[in-house]
Amino acid sequence: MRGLARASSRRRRRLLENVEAWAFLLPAAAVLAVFHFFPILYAFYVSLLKWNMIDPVRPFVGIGNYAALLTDEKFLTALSNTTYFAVVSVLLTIPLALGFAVLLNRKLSGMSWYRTAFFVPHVTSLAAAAMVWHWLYQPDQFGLLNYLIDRVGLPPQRWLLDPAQAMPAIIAVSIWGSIGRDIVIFLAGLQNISPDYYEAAQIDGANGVQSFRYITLPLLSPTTYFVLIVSMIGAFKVFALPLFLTGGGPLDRTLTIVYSIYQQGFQFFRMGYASAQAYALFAVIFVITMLQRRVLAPRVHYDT
Amino acid sequence: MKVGRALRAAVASLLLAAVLVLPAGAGGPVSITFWHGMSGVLNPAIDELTNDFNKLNPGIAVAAQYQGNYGALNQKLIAAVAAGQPPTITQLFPTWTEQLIQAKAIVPVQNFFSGPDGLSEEEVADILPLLRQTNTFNGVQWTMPFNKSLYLLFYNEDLLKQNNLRVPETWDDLLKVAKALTKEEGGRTTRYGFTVRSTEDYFFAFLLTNGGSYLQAGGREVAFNSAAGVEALQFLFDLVQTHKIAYVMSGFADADMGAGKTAMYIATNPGLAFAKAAAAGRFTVGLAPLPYKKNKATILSGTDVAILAKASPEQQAAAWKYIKFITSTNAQARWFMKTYYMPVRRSARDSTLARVYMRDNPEHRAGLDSLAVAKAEPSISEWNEIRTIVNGAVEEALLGKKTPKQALDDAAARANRLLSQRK
Amino acid sequence: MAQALALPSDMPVARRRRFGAKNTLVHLVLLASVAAVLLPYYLMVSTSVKPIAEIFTDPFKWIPSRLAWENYVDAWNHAPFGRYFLNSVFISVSETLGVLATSALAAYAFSRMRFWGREALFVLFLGTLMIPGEVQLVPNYITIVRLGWLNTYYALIVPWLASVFGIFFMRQFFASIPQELQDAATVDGASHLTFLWRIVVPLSKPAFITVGLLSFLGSWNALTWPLIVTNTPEMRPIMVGLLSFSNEWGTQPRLLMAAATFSVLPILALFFLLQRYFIQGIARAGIKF
Repeated sequence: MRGLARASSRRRRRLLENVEAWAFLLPAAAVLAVFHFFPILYAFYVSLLKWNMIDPVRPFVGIGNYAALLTDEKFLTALSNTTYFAVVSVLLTIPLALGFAVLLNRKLSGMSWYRTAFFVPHVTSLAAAAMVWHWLYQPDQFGLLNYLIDRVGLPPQRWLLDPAQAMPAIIAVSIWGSIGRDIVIFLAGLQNISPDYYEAAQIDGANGVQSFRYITLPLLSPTTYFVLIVSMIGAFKVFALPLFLTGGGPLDRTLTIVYSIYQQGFQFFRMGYASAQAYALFAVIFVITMLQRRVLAPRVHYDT
Repeated sequence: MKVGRALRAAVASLLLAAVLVLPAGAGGPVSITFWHGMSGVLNPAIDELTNDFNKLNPGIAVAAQYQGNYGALNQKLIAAVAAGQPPTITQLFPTWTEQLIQAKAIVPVQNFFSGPDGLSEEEVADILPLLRQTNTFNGVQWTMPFNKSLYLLFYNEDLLKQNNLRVPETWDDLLKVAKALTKEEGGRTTRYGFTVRSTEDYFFAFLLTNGGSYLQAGGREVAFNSAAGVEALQFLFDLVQTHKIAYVMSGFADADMGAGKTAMYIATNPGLAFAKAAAAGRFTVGLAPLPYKKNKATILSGTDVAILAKASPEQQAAAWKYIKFITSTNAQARWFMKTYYMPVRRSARDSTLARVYMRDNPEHRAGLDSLAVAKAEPSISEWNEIRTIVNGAVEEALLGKKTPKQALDDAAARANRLLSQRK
Repeated sequence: MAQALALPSDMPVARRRRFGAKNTLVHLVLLASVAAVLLPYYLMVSTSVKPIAEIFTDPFKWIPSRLAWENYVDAWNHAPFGRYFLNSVFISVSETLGVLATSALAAYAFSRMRFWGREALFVLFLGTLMIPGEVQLVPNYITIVRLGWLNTYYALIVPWLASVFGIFFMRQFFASIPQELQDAATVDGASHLTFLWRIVVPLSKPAFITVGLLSFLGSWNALTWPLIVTNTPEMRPIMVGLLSFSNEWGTQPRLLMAAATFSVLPILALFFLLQRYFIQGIARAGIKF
């Protein structure tokens, strides 16, 4: 008798705890459901339509939008531009950030000031940064950058207006903006490496370069891996920089995938096509991330 | 005791409710909203017209609301229509109209011509025929032209006078004058004769003055890649690369002219205000019709106004009254003088007010004279995107990435693909 | 100002102030790099105080002849920056408080409560981190339009009141609180809510500060979403306002740079005051993952 009563009161308690837990989750879950989960599904549904938001007629085109992507030169241009941007900016930023982090890891005076200085661009918004860089990149003789290269004897460049220079110029701004964050993360990773390793290496007669190669790099690999994945994902979503610096040009050379989504959805009101492009972006990011995992994860050395 | 207090409370709250609720329904002025994208000096100008109307019509209260630039206005309009909460009147470009008609979002202004507050046949005919044409779809006039502009040649009058040059009339004239005004100092060009903005309107201006057209008869294919078009784009390219008397830019040409960097450029007449501001009294800005090769022509630009279908019949009637007012002879004459937009009525153009103003400000002659040869762009919803495609082609050609013929043919192919999706 | 702290770890006692060619070289390299990184800021501030005649000069003028403070006055008067600031403060503070509250509650549930479907739900939440926000851009815009929230504070704040990152980050912290504390609290008759509020929250201050700061930073600097859901000056937060300012006054760098300067000043000030929390937060985020 008592056993049964205890069992049912336990069940009631567990039920109550479930309800209580869900009550705790409700605020976050409600917001996320409406603005994060549901849109993911709805976006997929919209990507199967041809719709301009106000037309009551919304023909179902199935995979028509996706098929159109494969032959849309503008989208393919955006895809190649974005890939170029992501690969170059990430592959340049990481070694630079690591290098600076190693330098900053020396126990010299003033290191924290340097680190703070590197970090400032990460804190200031892209809008303000883009404005200043746009002014810096002025194509005529009034631009600061042209003035500086004139001092070393080079002629003034068109920078953001030159189809070949525009994307590299944007990459430079991107590196400038994110190097501080990567330095901080690498610094933390470096400082987590136990000095015992270095002492042991010193006893064995290893020099600086060797201990860097055989101790620092492997032990830092989890951090490097993390930075690589996160940076790559972020780089594929680049939008604000070309929006404010070049408007996607010249000649669509700085048109990125998210910019294209914005154009299709909010300038031409092609909601279905824009959603298809968004899913295509997701697919690209997913594939790249999986590739990175496949290739790099086995090389990550975890300090056990 | 308790009952008495409760009763008093009930009466008090009923009275309060009555005071709060009743006036709202009790026949105040009909309140309507007008969404527009006019900034700068245009904003106070439209406010002035609106205030005048409100004073003359105490039963109507119009609120003119600036929604941002035209891009933002378009976004906001579409969103509001989709959400079922549109304004009463909106400003819009002819290329937006088709979509709104298909979505049954607007009512034709033509419906109001024959009403109590309507327009007589004369009054309808008084509106410039070209403008009514662009606002007519399938035989019905849906929108009312409001602020229309056209493209003209802007030039530094002082510079031309100093060098004894006549204002260019043909393409050859333009070439000669630009050459004469290009100045070099120490191996660098310090002043160019002409500015070429790498935008589609520049190309279209030269396309039209070379006898070309936008669409082929039937409207199913584009015609801008004709021989006339290739010649036009080639001419622009030559000005920049071959003769080196012009330079390519995508920014504000008026600022460059004010800084002495260029002597001439092409823009719409409201741009005169910016040009004057950039000149800041250092020189006089002159306006002339576009230089032509085969025939005189210019591009008609600017917006119309439309009444939204969601509005109540009362609101629609009030909206029509407002539209009738701002497109009336007197209002259009005043609008022209304040904003430099072209008057949409012949009577406004010929009014004493306008004529006196023109006598004192002869630079506007060019605009009014060009009105007779203005050509409107196609009012189809795909045209916005086609303009972007042409813009790309112009950039490619001017930067030497493709020959003009190649660039235009490629653009035409893409544009035709878009057009083929029209039902 | 005290030096920012290095992260807690067992570091060998520093060999500070070691004079030598190598260290001087390091300093030089760092100084040069930092100068390059800070150059844009110098350009921003110096242009913002240059008189109009000294902006378009050939050669470039490094130091203005006088401090043209009127640029700031003009820029401020040309657009409702006061309103933009107010909007940003209101939006960012609301969002941050919202994120802290919802994340704390959800993280508590995930880490200290048992309920049916806990693991599955957590994986689901994590999965959304992989989806680029751009996928949700169009549908969220449509939702906002349908709700009639376009160009309102609701559109700007509500979608961001919860953050999966915040939940995840706090969960790590909450999970490390010893079970004994919870058991003792239960014995004392405390409810989950009381335990959370009285014990867990005070013990997790670093997590709250980190999530709060990152959330505030993200909200203040946000561009894409506020850009598409606002259309009138009254609703714009500061960064979107700066953008529209550049559309209208982009041809006058003195105004643009002044506006840019006072737009970033608040966040910079906040950063310098709380830099150790910013930096530690970012670093921790990197390590915990």
